[in-house]
Amino acid sequence: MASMKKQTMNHSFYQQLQEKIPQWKAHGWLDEKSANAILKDALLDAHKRDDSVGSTHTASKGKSHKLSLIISVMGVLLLSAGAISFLAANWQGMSKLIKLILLFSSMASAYLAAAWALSPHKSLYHQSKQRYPALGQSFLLLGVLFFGNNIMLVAQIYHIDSHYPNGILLWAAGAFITTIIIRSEVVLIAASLLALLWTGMETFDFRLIHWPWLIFFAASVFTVIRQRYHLATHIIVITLFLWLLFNYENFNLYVSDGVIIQTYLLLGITLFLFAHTVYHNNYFLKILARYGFVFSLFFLYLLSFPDLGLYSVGKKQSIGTIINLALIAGVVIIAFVYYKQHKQSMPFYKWSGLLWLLILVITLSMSLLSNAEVQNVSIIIINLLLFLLVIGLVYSGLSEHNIFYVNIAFIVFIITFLSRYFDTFWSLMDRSLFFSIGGLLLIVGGYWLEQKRRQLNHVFLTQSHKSHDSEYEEVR
Amino acid sequence: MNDKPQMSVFVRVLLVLLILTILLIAMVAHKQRILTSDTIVILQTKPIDPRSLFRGDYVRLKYNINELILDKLSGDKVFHVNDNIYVILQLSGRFWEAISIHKNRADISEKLKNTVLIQGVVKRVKHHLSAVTLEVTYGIENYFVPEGEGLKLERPKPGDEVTLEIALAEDGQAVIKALLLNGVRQYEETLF
Repeated sequence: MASMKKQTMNHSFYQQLQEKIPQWKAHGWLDEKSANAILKDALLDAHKRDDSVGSTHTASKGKSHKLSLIISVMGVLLLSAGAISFLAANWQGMSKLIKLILLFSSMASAYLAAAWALSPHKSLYHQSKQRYPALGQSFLLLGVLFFGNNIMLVAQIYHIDSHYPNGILLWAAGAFITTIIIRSEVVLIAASLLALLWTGMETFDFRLIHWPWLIFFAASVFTVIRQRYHLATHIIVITLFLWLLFNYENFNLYVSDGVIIQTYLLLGITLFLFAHTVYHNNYFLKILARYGFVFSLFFLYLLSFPDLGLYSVGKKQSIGTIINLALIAGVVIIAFVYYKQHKQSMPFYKWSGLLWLLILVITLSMSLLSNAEVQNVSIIIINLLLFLLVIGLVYSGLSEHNIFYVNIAFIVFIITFLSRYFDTFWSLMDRSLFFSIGGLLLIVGGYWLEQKRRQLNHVFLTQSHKSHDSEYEEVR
Repeated sequence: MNDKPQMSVFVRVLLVLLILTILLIAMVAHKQRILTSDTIVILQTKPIDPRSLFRGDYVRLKYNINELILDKLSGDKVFHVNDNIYVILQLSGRFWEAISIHKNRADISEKLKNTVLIQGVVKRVKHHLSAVTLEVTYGIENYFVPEGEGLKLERPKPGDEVTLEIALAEDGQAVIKALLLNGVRQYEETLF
């Protein structure tokens, strides 16, 4: 814990100390020697953070750093567009050798400019600090863009016309090599997006379930955990769920829609539970749990529709049934491990959550193994579970002071309520009455829910400030 | 852990540049290696005319061997989209024509006289009446030319003949070595 706090020290903290320490000395709380030692230690820590190339994830960078990074990245995109346009306009008149020299030198220039901007320099106030970290990151990104441009143009110069997603794969690999060796969050994000483009091409253009992308994903996860990048964590986790969605049609060649939707639901729950079970202040697992939860909620919501035919038993279901039963077993095992870890101090709502989960897996097992008559019962249970989940989420959000769960609960409630309204009254009511009542319900309900959500948010913020103040008092 | 000596940023950047340059050179080297092959075949083409918005002017080439009628060929008979295949070509007059088609290279037991192997990918399987036709690509279907010069190759005048010299590696990978109009070399692949 002490080391964590030490790591989060930064320049703003150092500046605060610079302001506070003279006051503390005046009060007689600190002598000259201790004050100097504290300042020196804080300064060293701040510099260590700065020296970690590309560490844009910490608060140390501040808003001004983010703004300069965004502006630099936009500048880089414009510069690369200009350079590529210049090459395109003058391409025909150049010999192969001149073209190659131009391509390689533009890429090298961008990388060398990045090296200059990211290299440490000595100044009057700082012992060792990167010259222009934001600009350096942007030049790295420019280098990666030029590398991609070079792949395409070298392929053109030498008439290389192979399997075209391989060009994107090579580009993503180059970006990934850059982020591994030079450590850059911006470039890791670019690499992840390129890998997503690669898997998208393979999936949609060649109709393959594209497993090799998972290797890239695993390497990205390893990097993001090691470097503790926050924005990249979100992007990488989102790419996992997009990959699953991309492959829906290809999975559908082997198993039915209902089975895939149940698989996705169970996968989301597995990831959520896994992340909660092994979670030890790990940012990646926290984000994985959140997105996994939202992902599974979406598919639980789809299963609540009676008319989508998601429970029909078909010929294609044998492989899917085995996979889903294995996932159900996985969910049960992880839930059991979670229970063993937390049974001493588990609050009521977590017990209820585990019971809810048990009913869900029994319902899914039943729908996988039983005949069509039982399916109506499954749909009713799923709808009840969705309703109970909304209540459970609000309750757990209140108990854990977690506005995320409350917001999700409100969204799920509104969407489910509207869906059931459409399902039930579309054919029963006069159209004008249907829309009028629906609109009125939306306006009144939306206003009421937003008021409630704001009240809760306000309560959380007040409680958070109070606990912060009491901690401060304790320290004093 | 932070006390561990680290490479300077310049050294790390130079390392990245070296790796990326090697990757780009490897692309070219792979192509050039096939170009040095002694196995050269001449294929007859039927040019068509789509243009890329992003990659400048290029000729899209359609060869006789892009469409394979299974009934007329020996070898395997069942194929799916995206299957990697091996086609055996035999010299027939001035040009090389497909004589058999296989899913696995191991199935090609003995090499016939005057035959070569080319690797392709099945893009479409067309069923018409009882005949099955495969649309196959070999990675030699695009050829970049200076802007404005593609027209005479894409839409040759009546009587003009566009042919290509294709270099083949031992495993059947193909690259374009030269593009000929009425037997006269218009473009030839060189390193620089």
